[in-house]
Amino acid sequence: MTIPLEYFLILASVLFCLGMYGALARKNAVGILMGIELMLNAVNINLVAFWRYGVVSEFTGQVFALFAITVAAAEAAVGLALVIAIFRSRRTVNADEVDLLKW
Amino acid sequence: MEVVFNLVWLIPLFPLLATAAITFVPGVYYRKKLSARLTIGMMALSLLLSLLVFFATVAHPETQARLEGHAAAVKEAPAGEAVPEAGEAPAGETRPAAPEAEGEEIFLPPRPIFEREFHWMATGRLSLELGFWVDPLTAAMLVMVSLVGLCIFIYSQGYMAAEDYQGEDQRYSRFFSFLGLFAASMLGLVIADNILLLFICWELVGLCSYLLIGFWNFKKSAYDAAIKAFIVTKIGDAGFFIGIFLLYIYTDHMSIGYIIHRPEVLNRLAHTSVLGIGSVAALSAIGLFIGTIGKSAQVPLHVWLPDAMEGPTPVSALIHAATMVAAGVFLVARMFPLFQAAGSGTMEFVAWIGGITAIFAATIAIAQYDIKRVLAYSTISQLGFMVLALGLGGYVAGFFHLITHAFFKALLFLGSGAVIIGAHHVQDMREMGGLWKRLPYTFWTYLIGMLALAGIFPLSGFFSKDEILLDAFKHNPALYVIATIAAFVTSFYMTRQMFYVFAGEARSHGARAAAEVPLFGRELAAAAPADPHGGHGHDEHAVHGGPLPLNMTVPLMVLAAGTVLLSAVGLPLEEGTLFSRFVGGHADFSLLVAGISTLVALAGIGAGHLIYGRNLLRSAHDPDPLQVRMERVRLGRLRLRGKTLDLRLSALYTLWEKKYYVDEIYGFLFVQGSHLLARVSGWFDLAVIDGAVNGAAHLSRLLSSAFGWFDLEVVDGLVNLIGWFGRVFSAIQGWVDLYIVDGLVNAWALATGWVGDRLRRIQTGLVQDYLMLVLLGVALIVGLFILL
Repeated sequence: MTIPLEYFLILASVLFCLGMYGALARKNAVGILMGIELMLNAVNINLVAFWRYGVVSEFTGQVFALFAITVAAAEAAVGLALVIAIFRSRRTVNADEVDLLKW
Repeated sequence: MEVVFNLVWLIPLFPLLATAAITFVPGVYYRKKLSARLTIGMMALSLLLSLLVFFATVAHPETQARLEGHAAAVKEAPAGEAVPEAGEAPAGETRPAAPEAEGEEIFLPPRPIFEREFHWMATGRLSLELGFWVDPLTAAMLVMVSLVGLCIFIYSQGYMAAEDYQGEDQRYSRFFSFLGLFAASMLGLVIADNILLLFICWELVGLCSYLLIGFWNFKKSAYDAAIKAFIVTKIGDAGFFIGIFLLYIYTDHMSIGYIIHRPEVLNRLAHTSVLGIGSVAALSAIGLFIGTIGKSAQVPLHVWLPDAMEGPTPVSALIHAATMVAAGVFLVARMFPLFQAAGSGTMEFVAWIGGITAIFAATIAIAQYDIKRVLAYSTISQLGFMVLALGLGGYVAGFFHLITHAFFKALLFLGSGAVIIGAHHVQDMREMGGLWKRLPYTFWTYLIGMLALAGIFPLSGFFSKDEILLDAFKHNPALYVIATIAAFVTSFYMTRQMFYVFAGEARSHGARAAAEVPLFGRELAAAAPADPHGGHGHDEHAVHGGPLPLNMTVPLMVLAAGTVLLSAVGLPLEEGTLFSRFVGGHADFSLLVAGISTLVALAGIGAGHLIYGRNLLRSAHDPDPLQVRMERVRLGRLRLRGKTLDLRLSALYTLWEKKYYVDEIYGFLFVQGSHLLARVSGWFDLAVIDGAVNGAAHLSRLLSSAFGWFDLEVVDGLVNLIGWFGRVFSAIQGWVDLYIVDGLVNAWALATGWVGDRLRRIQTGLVQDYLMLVLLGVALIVGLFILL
C-alpha cells in the first residue's frame, strides 16, 4: 500500500503552520529560529514528496531539498551568532525587547 | 618532436617565474640562498629544454638533409621545397625558385621548423600578432644563452657572496631576480618570430642592463654609468623603432618570416622608395642597424659599454659580453635578407662600421689598466668583427663568431671576476701579478680564453675569426687589412693582460693573499697560506674573504671546455662546416688566410712577450713598458710661442689611454652643447618672449583705460536703465514666487510628511511584526490569486 501524496502535503502544511506560529508567537529568539527551521523542513517534505510522485524523473526535487538543508544550516549558524551577539550587548534574547531596526 | 617545440615558450618562462617568486614572495626575497638556488634551478630547466629543442632541431629531416651535405641542393632551391610541410608553419606555400633581386643573389635563411602565432590585440584595421618560432639560428642561440647563463648564475652565487652590501643583504636576492628577468627577456628575444616581440624583449634586456649596471647604486659612478648606458642605447633604439615602423607601413606585417623568407616581398621593398630618399629596404635596414650600433656598442655609440663595467662582474660577463650586446649582431643576422635586399651601399656601411669599431676599440684596449675595461674594449672590438662579417655577407662567419665569442668572452670575464675576488677587490692590473701559481684554475682557463680570443689554431676562436678574415679577404681588401691589424692588436693586448695579471710577483696585499679551493682533496689549510687576518692584513686594503670557492672555478672550466669543443663544429669539411650546414649558409676555408692570421696572432703574442714578458713590473707604480718604449721615439718638434715641444710616439699611447677622448668630445659636443642651447633658449625666453609679453601688457593697459572710460560713462548708463526695468519686473516675479510657487511646494511637503508619519508606525523594529507583515502580504497575494 502506498501512502497518497495528500498525506504528505497535509503533514507539510501542518508542520509549516506550526513553524509559522512558533516564529510569530515565541518571544525567545532561539524559539523563533526553531520555528523557521520547522517551516524550512515542511518545504523540504513538499519538495521530496512532489519529486517522488511527480512525472519528472530527474533529481531536481531532491537536489533542491539538499540545497535547502544546506542553506538552513548556514542560516541557523548565522542566526545563532546574531542571537549571541545580541545577548552579549543587551543581556536578553527576547525578540520584543530588541527593536534596533526601528526607524 | 612536435611536443618539444610546443614547449618552447616555457624556456623564457622558467627564469621569469624565479624573478616573480623573488619579487613577490617575501619568504623568498629574504632568504638569499633560496633565491639564488631557485634562479639557478629555473635556469637549469631552461637549459634542459633548450638542449631538447636544439637536438630536436638537429634531428629534424630538414636539418638532417643540410647536415648530410646537400649544401649544393640547398643553395639552388633555398630550403623549403626540399622539405615536406614544416610543422605548424602557417606560411606553407612554395616559394618562387630564384630571387630576382638586382644581380646579386639574396641569401634566404632556412625556414623555421616550428612557428606559433597568437593574437595580441586588434584595434580597427591594426591587428598585432605575436609569436615564437624555432629555426637553426634560434636553436643555436637558445643553447648558447642558457648554457652560458647557467654557468654565470652558478658563478654569481660565489661572486656575489663576496661583495659588500653595506647592510642591505637582500640585494643579493634582488641581483638574482634581475638576472632571472634578464635571462627571460634574452631567451624571449631569441625565440621571437616577430619584430615587435623582438623589440619588446630588446627593450627589456636594455632595462635589465640598466638595473644591473646600477646595481651598486650607492656608488655615484655606477649610477651614472647606468643612466649613460640607458640613454646611449636609447638613441640606437629610436633608429630601430623607425625601422620597424617603415617595415610595418610598407608590408602591413610585423612577422619576420613574412619579410625574410619571401623574395617577392624583399624585391618589392627594394624597389619602393620613401620620399625619394632611398628604398624602403635600405632605410629600414639602416634604422635597424642603428639599433645594433647602440646595443652592440659600435663606433659612434660605443661609449656606454666600458662604463657598464661598473656593474658586478657576472653581469659584465652575461649581459655586456656574451648575450645582450650580441643581440644587436643577432638582429642583423636575423634580418640578414633585408640587409642584402637593401643593396651593396647599406652592406658596405655595416661592414665599415664594424671594421672601424674593431680596430678602434682594440687599440684602446692596449692602454687600459682596469682588467675589466680591457675586456670591455675587447668585446666592442670583437662585436665589430661580427658586424664586419655580416656586412661583408658572411652570415655564417658573423653568427659563428657570436657563439664562440660568447663562450670565451664569458670565460674571460668570469676569470677576471675570479681574479678580482681572489685578489680581494683589486681591479687595477698593475696591482696584480704572480697569480698563476696562486689561482691555477683561473690561470689555465683564462689562458684558454685568451688563446681563443687571439685566434690560436685548435680553439674555436681561430675558426670563427678565420672565417671573418676570409670573407674580408675575398670581398674587401681594405677591410681585410684593417681586420688583420685588429687581430694582431687583439693578441697583443691579451698577452699584455696575461703578463700583467698572472706573471711576475704579486704587487699588492690582496694579490698576495689570493687562493683557490682545490677541486679534489681537502688542502684548504695548505691552499690558503696567507691568512687574511694575520701578518700584513691591516694595511690600506683590509683583506677579507677566503680562497675562491668551487662554484666560481667550476663554471670557468665548463666554459673553457665549451670554448675548446665548439671548434669541432667549425672544422672545415669538404663543403662548409657543420655549423654552416646547420644554419644553412656556406663557409669556406683557405689555408693562405688561416696561415696569415695564425702568423699575425703569434706575432701579437710574440710582441707582447718582448715588451711585457721581458720587462715585468716590479711594483704597482711602475710605468707601462710599452709607454716607456714609445716615449723613446721622437716623431718631431713643435714650436709653440717660442717653446719647443717634443712630439713623441707615447702621445699615441696617451691617446689610447684616454680612449681617443671620445667621452670628452661627446661631453663637449652634446652635454655642453645642450647646456649652451639651454642658455641661449633662456636668453631668448627672457629677452624676446618676455619682451613681447611685456609690450603686449603695456598696450593692453593703455587700451583698457580707454575702454574703462567708455564703460563708465556710456555702457553703465545703459546698463543702469535696463537694471531699473529689471528690478520692477523682478518685484512682480518675487511676489508670484513667494505666494504661489512656494505655497504649492510647501503644501506638497506637508502632505508627504503626514503620510510618512503615518507609515512609519509600521516600522516597529520587532522581527516578529515584520514576519507578520510578510505573512499578511503572502495571504493577500494568495487571496487575490484565488479571487481573480
